[in-house]
Amino acid sequence: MKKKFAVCFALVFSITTHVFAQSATDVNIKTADRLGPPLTALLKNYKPDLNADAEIISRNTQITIDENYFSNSVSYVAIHINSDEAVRDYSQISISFNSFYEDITLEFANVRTPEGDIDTIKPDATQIQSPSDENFYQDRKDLLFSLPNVRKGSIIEFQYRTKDTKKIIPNQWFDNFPMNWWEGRAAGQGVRSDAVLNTEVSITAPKKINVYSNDLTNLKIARTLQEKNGVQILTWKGKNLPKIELQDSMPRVDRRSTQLRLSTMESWQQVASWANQLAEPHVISDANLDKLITSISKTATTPEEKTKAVYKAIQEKVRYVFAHVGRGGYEPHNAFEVLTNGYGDCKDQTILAVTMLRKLGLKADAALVLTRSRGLPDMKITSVNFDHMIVHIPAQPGLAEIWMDTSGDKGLYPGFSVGLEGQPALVVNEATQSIVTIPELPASEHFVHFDLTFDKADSKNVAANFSLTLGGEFEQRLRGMWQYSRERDKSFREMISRIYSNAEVAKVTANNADDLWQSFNLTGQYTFNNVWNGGKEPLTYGFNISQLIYLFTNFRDIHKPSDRLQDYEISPGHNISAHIKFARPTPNHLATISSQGQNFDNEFFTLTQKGREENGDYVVDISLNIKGNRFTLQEYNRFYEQVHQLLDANDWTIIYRYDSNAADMASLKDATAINGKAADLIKLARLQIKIGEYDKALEAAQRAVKNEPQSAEAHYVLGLAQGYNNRLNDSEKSFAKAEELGYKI
Amino acid sequence: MKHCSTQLIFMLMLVLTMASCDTSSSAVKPIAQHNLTATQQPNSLNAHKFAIYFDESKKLNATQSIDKLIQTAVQEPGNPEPLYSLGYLHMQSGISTKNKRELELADIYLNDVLAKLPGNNVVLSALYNVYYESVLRNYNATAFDNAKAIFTQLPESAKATTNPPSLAKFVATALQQEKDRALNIQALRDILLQAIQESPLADTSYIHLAKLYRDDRYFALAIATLKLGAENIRNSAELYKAIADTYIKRAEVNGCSYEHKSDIENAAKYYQLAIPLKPDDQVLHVALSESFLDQNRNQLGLSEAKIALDIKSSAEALGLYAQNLSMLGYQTQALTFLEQAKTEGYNAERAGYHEIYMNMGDWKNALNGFNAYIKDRDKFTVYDLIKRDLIAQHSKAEISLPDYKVVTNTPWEKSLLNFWTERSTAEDLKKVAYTSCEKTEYYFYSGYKDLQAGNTAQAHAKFSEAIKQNTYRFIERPLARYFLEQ
Repeated sequence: MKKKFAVCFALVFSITTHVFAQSATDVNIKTADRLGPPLTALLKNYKPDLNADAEIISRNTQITIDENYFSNSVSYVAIHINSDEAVRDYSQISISFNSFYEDITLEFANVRTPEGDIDTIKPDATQIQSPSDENFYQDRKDLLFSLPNVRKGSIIEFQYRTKDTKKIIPNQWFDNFPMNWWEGRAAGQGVRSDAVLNTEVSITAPKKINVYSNDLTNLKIARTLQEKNGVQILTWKGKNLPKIELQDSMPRVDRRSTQLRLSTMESWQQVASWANQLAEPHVISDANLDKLITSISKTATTPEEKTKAVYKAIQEKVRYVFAHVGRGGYEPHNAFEVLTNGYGDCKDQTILAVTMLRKLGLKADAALVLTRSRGLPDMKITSVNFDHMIVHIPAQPGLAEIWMDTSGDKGLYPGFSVGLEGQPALVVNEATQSIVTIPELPASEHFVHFDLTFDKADSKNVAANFSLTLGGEFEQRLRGMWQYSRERDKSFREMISRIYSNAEVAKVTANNADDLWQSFNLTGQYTFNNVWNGGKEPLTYGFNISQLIYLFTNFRDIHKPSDRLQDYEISPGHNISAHIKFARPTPNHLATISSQGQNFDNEFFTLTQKGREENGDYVVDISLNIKGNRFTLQEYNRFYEQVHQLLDANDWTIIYRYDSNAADMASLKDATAINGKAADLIKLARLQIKIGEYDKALEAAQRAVKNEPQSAEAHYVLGLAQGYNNRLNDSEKSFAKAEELGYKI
Repeated sequence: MKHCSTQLIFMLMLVLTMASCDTSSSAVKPIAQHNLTATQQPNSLNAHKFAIYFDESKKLNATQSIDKLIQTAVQEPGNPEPLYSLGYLHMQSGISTKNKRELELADIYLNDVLAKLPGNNVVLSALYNVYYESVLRNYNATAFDNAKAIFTQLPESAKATTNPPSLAKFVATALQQEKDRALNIQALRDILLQAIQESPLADTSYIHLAKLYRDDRYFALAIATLKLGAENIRNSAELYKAIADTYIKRAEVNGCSYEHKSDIENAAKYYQLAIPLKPDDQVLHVALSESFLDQNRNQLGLSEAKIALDIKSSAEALGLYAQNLSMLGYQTQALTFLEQAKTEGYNAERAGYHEIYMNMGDWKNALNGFNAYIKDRDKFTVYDLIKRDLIAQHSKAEISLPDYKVVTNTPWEKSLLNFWTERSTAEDLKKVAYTSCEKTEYYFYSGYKDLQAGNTAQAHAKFSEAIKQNTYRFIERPLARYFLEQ
C-alpha cells in the first residue's frame, strides 16, 4: 500500500496568496474601477531601484465585510520588472483559491513596456486550473494568467476581486494577507518576494463586528481605525518592505513574518466546536466496521494493543486518497464509508480511527494540526488555518498520551512524524479551549547509527560489514526514499558508497521497508580492493564522521556568513553516531593510532569520539549530538566556523603494524609470571629490549640474575638493560661478570 | 711503532641528511593506489583554500611544469595527482635548496592529498621526507611529531630503508650541542634509543649509539648494542663492520691489540660476515687483511689485501700492499708494488715509503723518503725521532729534526723517549714494558743500542726476543730480522 504523506486539507491559506473562490472554470475580465491611481500617475514620482530584480510598486487590498460576514475584496498589484529572471517569474501570475467557498474575477491586467506602450491581457491567456495530483479530488484551483510583452524594464499591473459565496464557519470571518507579494518562480523553483514600496490592507465592516489582528510593528506597520455612521475602516499601511530572501533552515516562526492575520473569532473554542460539529456526526459504524472492531477486540485486550491494532487495520485496509469535490474540504466522510471505500484522506482516516478506538473503549479525538510545511505562525489569532488532521489519544489508564497519524506510510507506529513536532494542534471536541503544542521528540530519537566491522582481510582486499540503523526523521526519510525510488538499489548503493568513497559496495539490503512495526534499516558489505599487501605489511584504516555528516545534514552546504541573511534554526535536534571495529588483519598485527578524531562541545553540537582496544581489535565510538537550536545572524558566524572545524576534524587513522614479538611477549609474560625461570626471564628481557621497553627489560634481567646468579647470559642481558637505562658503570660490571662466567662478548 | 691502520670515517651527517633515497629521483611517482578510508573533502573548499598557495608556488618555483600543475589542480579539484606533484616538486626543491617555505608548501599540498588518500605509500613517503628535513634543519617544533605520525604509517618495506624520525632529531641535536658547546651525550643516547624503538630495522641508529658508547669506552655495551641490531637486521654489512671495528678499537685501547687475541679474531669473524653482503667494499677487505696479519695468518692477510687491490688499484692500496709484503719479508715483491704505487701517485711523503726501504736496508732511498716525510711536519713522534737516527746513522747523513718538536702521547712513549735520548737506562725501560707491544720495542731499541755499542751477542739476543713477541705488524720485526742478518 503506497500512500503519500500529505497536507490533506484543501482549504488552506496558501503561502503565496489568499484563498479565492470562483464557481466557473473560465474567467471574465471585467472593466472595473481601479483601486489606485492610473499607472501613469502611479509612476510619476517612481524612481526604480536599478539594483533590484523586481520591485512591488504597489500592493493594495480593500475588503468589505457585510452584516452576514461575507466579504468582497479587491487587490491591486503593480510590479517593476528589472531582470530576465524576474521576466520569467512574473510572466505568468498564479492566484490560488477554493472554488467551493469563493469566487474570483480578474478585473484587469496590463503591461507597460519599456518603450511606454500599454499592452492589455488577452482574453485567451487566462485560465482557472485544477492542480494535477492523482490522489487529490478537491475544490482548490488556481487563477492563472499570462501577461504579454513582459520584458526587462516593463511594469505589470493587475487587479482581481474575490467574493465569498459560502462561509466556512457561519457568522464568522477570517483571512490572512501577506503585506508583501509572493510569486511562484518559473518551473516550480519555489517562491520569491521582492521589495515593496507601498503596501496597504483596509477593511470596511459594520462597527459591531470585532476584527482581531496580529501585531505587525516588526514591519513598522500599525493599525489605524476610522469609524463613521456605524461603519469602521481598519487600515494597515506600510512602506519600503525589504525583499525577503528565503534560505535553508530559516526558523519556522519567521516564514510568514509579513502576514496580517485577521479574524472575527475570539477563541479557539469556537473553531474546535465548529470542527467537532462537522466531524462528530460521521463517527458512526455499520455492520462491516463493527465486525472489524469485534475481531480486533478478541485479540487486543490492553489499551496499547488496541491502538496498535487500529493503526494496523487502517494501514492495511485504507489507502490514502483525498476525494472531496464539492464538500468544502473540512467535513469527513462517515467512518464506515471510509472502510467500505478502502480509501480516505487524513480526516477520513482519523474519523475511522476515532470511531474504532472509541468502540474499543478508549478515549480518542480528532486533532487539527498545522504541519511544519506551513511554518509556525502567530496562533494568537483564531482561524481555520490547519492543513492536517490526526488522532489524539489522551493519557488514560494503561496508556500514555499518543498523537497518531495513520495517513503516512513511512512512519513507524503511531505514525508520528517530524512534520508534527512542536507544531500547533487543536483537539476537536467541545471541551477544547485553546491550541496545544505537539511535543517534540528528544534529539536522541532522530538518529542515524552506522555500525561497521572490518572483519576480513585477505592478501590484498579487505571486507567490512555494515548496518545503518535509523530513528525518527531519518528512518522515515530513508524508508520513503526506498519506497518511492525507481532505481532504489542503485540509489542506495550510491548513498552508502559516499561513506567510503573508494570502497565497492558489494551488497546492500533494505530491511523492514514495508513493515511499519520494525525500524527500516540497511545492512550490507563493503569491499576495499588492493588496500593491503598482505603478510607482514601494515594495514591502514581510516574513518571520518564527516562523511555521515555530509549525508545526513546540510552542514556541507551552509551559507557563508556573508551570504546568510536569515536566522538559522536546527529543529529537531538529532544524533549521528558510529561504531567502527577495525579488526587486526592477523593476530601479530598491533594497532597504532596515527591520528584521532577530535571532540567538540559547543552551543550547537557535541561530538564525542573515543577509541579503545577490544580483544586486540581497535574500536572507535563516535557520537555527534546536534542540538535543536535557533540562533541569530550574529551567532551564525560562530556556527559557521564551528561547523567548518567539525568538517575539517581529523580522521581516525589506525595502522596495524606487524609485530612478530607480540605473541612471544604474551606467552613469555605468562610463563615468567608462573615459573620465574631465568631462561624465560632472559628471553623476556631480550624481547623487551628489542621493542624498547628498557625499564621492563631491566626488571626482568634483574630477576633473571637473582634467580640464577651463575647464568652468564643473565648477566650479559642485565648489562645490556643497565646500559640502556643509563647505568653505564653497572653495565660494564655486568658484562665483566658475564665474561667471567664464560660469556664471550 | 705500527703501520698506519685504516681509520673508520664516520660519515654521520652524510648518512643522515636524507630520510630516504626517494627524494633524489626527479620523476614524480604516481599515487594511484586504492585506500581504505572515508575522507573526501568537498572540492569547493579546496579551490578556495589553495588559491593563495598556488600564487606562492608560482613565485617560488616559476616553471612551466608548476604552472601546468596549478592549472590542472584548479580545473580538476577532485583530482589529487596535480596537488601531489606540486607537493613532491616543492619537497624536492625545498630539500635541495634548503628552502623552508617550499617545504611548508609541500606539507600543505601533500597533506591535502593524504586526507583524500590516507595510507597511500607514495604520498606518505614524500610527506615523510618533508618532515624529516624539517626536523633535520630545526625548521619547526611540530615537525618531529608529524614525522613520527607519518613514519608509523609507512609500509615495513619502506621503513627498512628509511631513517626513523629520531635520527633526524639526533643530528639536529648534535649540531645544536656543538654550536652551543654544550655536549650532552646522555641526551644523544636517549634520542638514539628512541630511534631504535621507532625502527628496529634501521642499522644506522645502532651504529651511532654504539659509537657513543665506544667513545666513552663502554665497549661491551657498544658491542652488545651492535649485536642486538644484527639480530634484528641480518643483512647489514655496516652493522657487522661496526662490530668488527669496535672489537679492533677495544683491542687497541690499552695500546697493544696483540694482548687481546680474541678481539682480533672476533673482528676478523665479523669482517667476514660483512664481506659477503658488500663484496666490493675495499675498506672491508683491507680491515680483514689487517686482522689476519695481526693473527700471523699472513697468506690470508696478503690474499685479502690483494682482493682489496683488485677492487681498486689506487696509490693508497698499492702502497699498503707493498708495506704488508715488506713487513713479512717479501722485499722484492714489495719493491715491485711500491714502484706501481709510485706511478699511481704514491709519493715519498708517505710513512710507508721510507719504512719499506728501511726494511730492506736501502738507507739512501729511506733517507730521501724520510726527508720528504718530515719536510712539512710541525710535530714528530718518538718513533719519527728513532727512525731519523737509524736512517741518519746508516745513510751517514744529517737529518734535521728539532727535539722540541717531538711529542709523546702515552707514558710508554715518554719512557721510550727518555731511553732513546739517554735520560734513562735500558733497565728503566724494561721495568715499564708490560705488554708484548712495549716489550717488542724495548727489546729492539735497547738491542739496537747494544749493537751500536758493540755488544752484538746481546743485541742479537734482544732482536730475537723482539721477534718472539709476535707483534706481527710492528716495523721492529722486519728491522730486527734485518739487523740479525747483517
